[in-house]
This record gives sequence, C-alpha cells and structure tokens, in this order.
Amino acid sequence: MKKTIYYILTLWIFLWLQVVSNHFLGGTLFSVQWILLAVLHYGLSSGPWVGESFGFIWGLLIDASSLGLLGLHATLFSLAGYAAGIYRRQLDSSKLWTQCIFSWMVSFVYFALYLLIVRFLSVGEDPFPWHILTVPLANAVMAPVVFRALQFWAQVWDMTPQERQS
Amino acid sequence: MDWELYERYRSTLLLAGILFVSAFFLAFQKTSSVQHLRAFLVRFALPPQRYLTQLHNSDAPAVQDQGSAESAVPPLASSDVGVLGGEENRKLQVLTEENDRLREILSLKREKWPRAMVAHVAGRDPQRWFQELVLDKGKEDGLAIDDPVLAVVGGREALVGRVLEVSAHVSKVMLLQDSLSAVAATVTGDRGEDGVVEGTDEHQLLLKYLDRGTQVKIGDLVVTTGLGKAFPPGVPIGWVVNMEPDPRQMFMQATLHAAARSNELRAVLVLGASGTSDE
Repeated sequence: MKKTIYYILTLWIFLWLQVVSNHFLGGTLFSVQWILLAVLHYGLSSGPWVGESFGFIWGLLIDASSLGLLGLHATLFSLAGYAAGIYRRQLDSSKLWTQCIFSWMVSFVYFALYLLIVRFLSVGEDPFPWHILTVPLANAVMAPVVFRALQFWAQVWDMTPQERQS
Repeated sequence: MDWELYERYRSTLLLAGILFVSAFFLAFQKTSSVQHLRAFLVRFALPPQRYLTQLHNSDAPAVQDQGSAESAVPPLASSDVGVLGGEENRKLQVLTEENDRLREILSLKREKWPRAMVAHVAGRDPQRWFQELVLDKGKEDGLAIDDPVLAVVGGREALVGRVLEVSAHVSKVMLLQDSLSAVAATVTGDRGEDGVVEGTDEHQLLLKYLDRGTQVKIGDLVVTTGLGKAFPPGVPIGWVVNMEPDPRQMFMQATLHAAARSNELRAVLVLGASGTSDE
C-alpha cells in the first residue's frame, strides 16, 4: 500500500513539475525535461522494469495533456527507462558526471528520435530545431538535482531501490 | 527453467509489449477506443494545466459564456493600484490587466460575435510551441473541428488559428504559425492584393504568391478574405515587416508580424459555425 502511494505520488508530482515548467519555460530553449530525468533515475536505480513502466505511464499522461500523438512520449520515455536500466551495471549512477553525461546522451537521442518520428508522421519543412542542442544541456545540468531529490524522496518513504534481473 | 528464462527477459518482454501498444495508439489515433483512452487520461493530466491557467489569471473571475460574464468583470480603476503595498499592488495590477483583457474580449463578443465562446488556454507543448495550443473547452461546450479562433489585441480581433481536434472538455488549436497552416488573405487598402498566409513554425508568418510587381509595402495590414468560408472576412492576421522574392523567384512574399502573438495568448474567442455568420 505504502509502495503504491509512493509511486502514485511520484507520478503526480513530476507531472505537475513538468506542466509548471512547460508553462513558464516552454517557449525558451532551456525547458528542462524533469520527467525524462526521473525516468532515467528509476531506470538506473531500480532497473529496466521500473524505468520503462514509469516512462510509459508518464509518457501517456504527457501525450494526453498536450493532445499530441498518443503513444509518442510513451514510446520514447519507455525506451529511455529501458536503456537506463540495461546500462545500470556499467554505470556508477552515484557519480555526478555520470548523471550529467548519461542524461545529456539520452536526452539527445530522445530528441533525435522525437524529431524523426514527428517528421515521419507529418509533412512540411521545419526550421532547424535548436532545442535539440540546448535542452539536453539543460537536462544534464539539472540531472544531479533530480537524482538527489528522488533519492531523498525514496528515503523519506523508506523505499530502497530493488534490483530486478533483466 | 522456463520461469528463470521469463525472469531474465521480463523487462525486454515488457518493453516489447509497451512498444506494441504505443505503435497501436500511434497508428489508430482517430479510432474511438484510442480517443476514449485519451479522454480518460486527460482527466488526470489536465488539472495541473487548468490550475496554472487560473493562477495566471490571478483572482480574475472565471469567464462564463453568456451575459453573466460581463457583470462578473467589473471595471477596475487604475488609480486604486497605487495605494496598496507591494504584493497586493502586484496582484491588483495583474488583476487589472486580466480584467481589461476579458472586458475587451467580452465587448468584442457582444458587438460582433454574440454566439462565440470564450475559452482559456489550458496548455502548450514546448516541442510544438508554434504549432498548437490546448483550450479548456471541448465538444460538450459546443466547439467543433475547424472553428476559427480569435484573440483580442488592442480592442480589435486578431486571427489565432483554427480548432484541429476536439474531445469532450478540451480542444487543440492549430496556430497560424504552424507550417501546415494556410489562410486566404488580402492586403487592406486600395491595393487589395490577395495571397496565402502560411506559418513558419516561428513567430513570423509569410504572405505568399504576391505578384512580382506588387505595390504592397512595409506596414500594410493583412486580413482574412473570407474565401472558402473557413474564416470570417476582415479579421487582422498581421502587418508586413519585410518583402522579398520567394525562393523560386516567381512571386514576391511578405514576412508578417502576427497580430496575435502566440506567446501572449491567455483567453481566446472561438467562433462556431454560426459565429462566422453573425457579422
């Protein structure tokens, strides 16, 4: 029961955080993707199962809230959670630089895939999306903050990450 | 042994399932089952956006549709603002601005489009900032696909875009700035040259297909023609800020400064099918 409340609250809080962030920083080139960072944290700390599950639910909620393509963010966040979970044994996620660089790389790949899918499903010529360069940087800078906050949040709820086999 | 194998590949199997479900959603966006799921998810995802919109509108009363709305927005003297302290002063200032904005919209609605509906911007997707926005009204409030959406700027209406998708209580608007948007337009004044305004996925718009000997000049106002009945005629779209030949050198094209800046939209007017004929 406690675990369920913890997961639901986490989902809800980060959804709010993302919506608030989009509201105030969405038009800038430095809007942070808090949900993506949280998915990476859960992938790295609890394995691919938790990472991709969180990614899928958050992705669906983001797709629904923006009335965008339902399933697009769900796919990308799930892949990010899975990738984080798969590489968790090769990475020391407690290190600051690891968090930054891994977040930057995944964010970049996420944006590249996002643009590829959107371009594939729509028509017209878009200008060069500069945020593909800037948002991953913003994500990398904020990754340690999110990782630390989520560790603290788990401690408050006495939730130690459970490793799962993959 | 089989159980061990399952445990080993459990996360991969889950990913495959997720990808399959997501691909299904992407491929069948318009089916009723996916639309129902979206409507269900919106109930969870929209409250934060609605709250933020209300927060942004500060203490301003929520705008209803008909006559009660006008009485709900009493005039506020700007001189009152000066006598209060910092925080209250700021809140009052925001309230005053919001008040003015709503009064402008309601006044225009009363004068020109009595059957139009006032809706608030409920959300934006940062990745599609110049393409779309989400309104807090939907099918059950009377909105329909292709309804024109206007904003009020300086007491005059300005074209924002058209309704692209509607669900029960929210709807998505395609902005003029979307590169897929095209609106029949004309330049005001004696010249009256027609063209097509297209989006660029950035702030500015392009008025295309002008004659190479065009007399259009910087500062001219561009409005809708009303051709095709998609939009009412005479609604301002933007002002000409630059003229240049198009990439193929066959026509001239004008860069427009949009009359309704997509970054400043809070409340909009949605004209129903009847709304366009009320003029």
